[in-house]
Formats: sequence, C-alpha cells, structure tokens
Amino acid sequence: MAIDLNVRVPSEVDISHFLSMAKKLGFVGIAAMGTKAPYLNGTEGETVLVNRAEILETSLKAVKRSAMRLRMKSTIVALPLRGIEVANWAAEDSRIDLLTLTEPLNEYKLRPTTAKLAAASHTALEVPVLPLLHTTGLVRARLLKSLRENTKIAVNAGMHIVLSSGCSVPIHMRSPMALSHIGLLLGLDIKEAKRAAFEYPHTIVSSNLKRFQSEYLGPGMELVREEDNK
Amino acid sequence: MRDVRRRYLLFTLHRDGPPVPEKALVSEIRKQLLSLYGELVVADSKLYLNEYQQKSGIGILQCSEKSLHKVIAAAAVIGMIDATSVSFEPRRISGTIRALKKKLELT
Repeated sequence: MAIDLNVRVPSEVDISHFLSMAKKLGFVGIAAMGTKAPYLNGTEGETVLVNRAEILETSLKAVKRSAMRLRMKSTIVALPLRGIEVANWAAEDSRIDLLTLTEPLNEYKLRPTTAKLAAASHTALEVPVLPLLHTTGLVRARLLKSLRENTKIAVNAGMHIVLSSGCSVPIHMRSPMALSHIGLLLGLDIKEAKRAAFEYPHTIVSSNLKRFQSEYLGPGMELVREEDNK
Repeated sequence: MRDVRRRYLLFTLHRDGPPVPEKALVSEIRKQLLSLYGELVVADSKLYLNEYQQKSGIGILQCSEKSLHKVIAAAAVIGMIDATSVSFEPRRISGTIRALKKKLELT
C-alpha cells in the first residue's frame, strides 16, 4: 500500500500521466504538489490523489501563519529543513507532517535535538531520491554523505523516514520496491527501508484524510453516533 | 557443488524514448554498481542478463545472492541510458529462473 508523497505536477494536464505511471509502478496513490485541481483529496480512478503543500517561508511568524492556512486544505504539509528555529518549531507542531531534506544539503543538517522533538510528535523525515538520479561520482558521494548523516540522526532519535521521488516528470518516479532499495543506500536496514517506502507514507495519508471527514473532531476524537433531535 | 547461491530478478524497465539495447542496460547497471560499491562488489556480483524483451522492457537479471540488494539499488538510481530516460522497476525475486520465466510468459 505505497503512496508517493512528493510528486510535483507542472500543470493540471500532466496529472493523468503521473497517475498512470504511479499505477504501473504499484503505488496506490500520490501526493501531488503544484496544481489546484479540484478533485484533489479524493480518488481518481483506482489511484488515491491527495494534495501536498510545502511551507516555503523562512521566518517563524510567516511559517506559523502558513501552517495554519495550509493544514485546512492540504492532506500533506511539508517543511523544507532550513533554519534551526523554524525546524524545531515544526518538529514539535502536529500540523507539520514532514521535514523534507532539500538542496543545498550541506548547508542545513538535521540536529539530534530537532530529531528527538520530531520523533515525539510523529513528524517524519522525508528524503526525496531525485537528486541521486541526476548525479554521479564525487557529487553523488557528497550528496550521499549528507543524506546518510541526516538519516542516521533521524533513525537514532526514533524518527520515521519517508522515501519519496520528488519528481516533476513521470519517468523519474521510482517504484516502492526501488525506493526501499535506495533506502539501503541511505543506511537503513531492509525492514526500515520497506517501512519508509510502503508503510509510513500510507499511515500519514490515511490518518490525515480522517481530518477532512465530518465525523472528525480532533486527534483521537471521532463522532461515532449522532442522536436525532426529534 | 555450486559455490555461489544465485538469485533471479524479474524487472521492468520503463522508458521515455527509444528502446534500450541489452548491452547498454547491463553496462549501465555495472557502471552504477562500480560507482556505488566498488570493484570487488562488481567482481563478486556474477551479474548476467538472462532474458530481456527490448520493446516491453521486461527482463530477468541473474546475480549472486550476496549482491542482490546492491544490484537492485544500483539499477534503481539509473536515470538515463544513452538518450533514454528510464525507471527500473524490480518486480519479483526468485531462487529459480523457472518461476520467473512462467511469470514472464504470462505478462
């Protein structure tokens, strides 16, 4: 039951190509970013299509405002790992689902304290694999160094790792099994790598989709039965 | 007695462009394996492409059991072969080629 949580759709026209590629590769769904398609947060054919939002602001005040706004309408809310102050706040805040590793990777590193806060509030570390497909040799070695260091810090703190493609063209998507093997390159063991590709993304999406249901009242609270007022 | 346990991998090579020839595919996997894990792993991998349908991209790859995950990881990070963008999809692993050939006939 794998879902690719990071697909960047350039235009609404392209969404069907991504969906058909996702189906071919064995994904049950994708979290798309960069489109305002009205059918997001639903099922398109057999593939679940949800929307993803990324908080691009850098100041804490602006990030807090964006988090509030985006949480109401997006299934996945991700924050690129940048400043310490913002990362620490996001790690503790339950509205943020993912802390994403973005380039330049050597500038921003996940701190063990941030990772512990994130582990406590079930915020996962997202590793997009796209940069690994476009680099070779020494450049890829440097990239792998950063990714492996960040992944190790997250795993040691008990944070969940989510592997995603981060692609903007369908052919750059990788199947869940391929993603889990790329997880091995990042230093994950085979069990954790499989969870990072198959289990954790699905868990995040299914728990967040509950928020959009009318029965949802709050974390752990759900309207089971309503008395008729007749 | 066989000294190396072998594993067989059924895969699909998705592509966006002209079909990828057999030689180019194996050479690219070896190149990535060499780049990521080094000469010793390439030497011990016993990598061999058993079956490959160029048009559909479906094939069976053979390698040593020890290097299986490394071979898959190396193949998964291939982004382009010659001028063709590709996505390597590992589908099924087996200890015998017979099971995979049956699956290949079905697809």
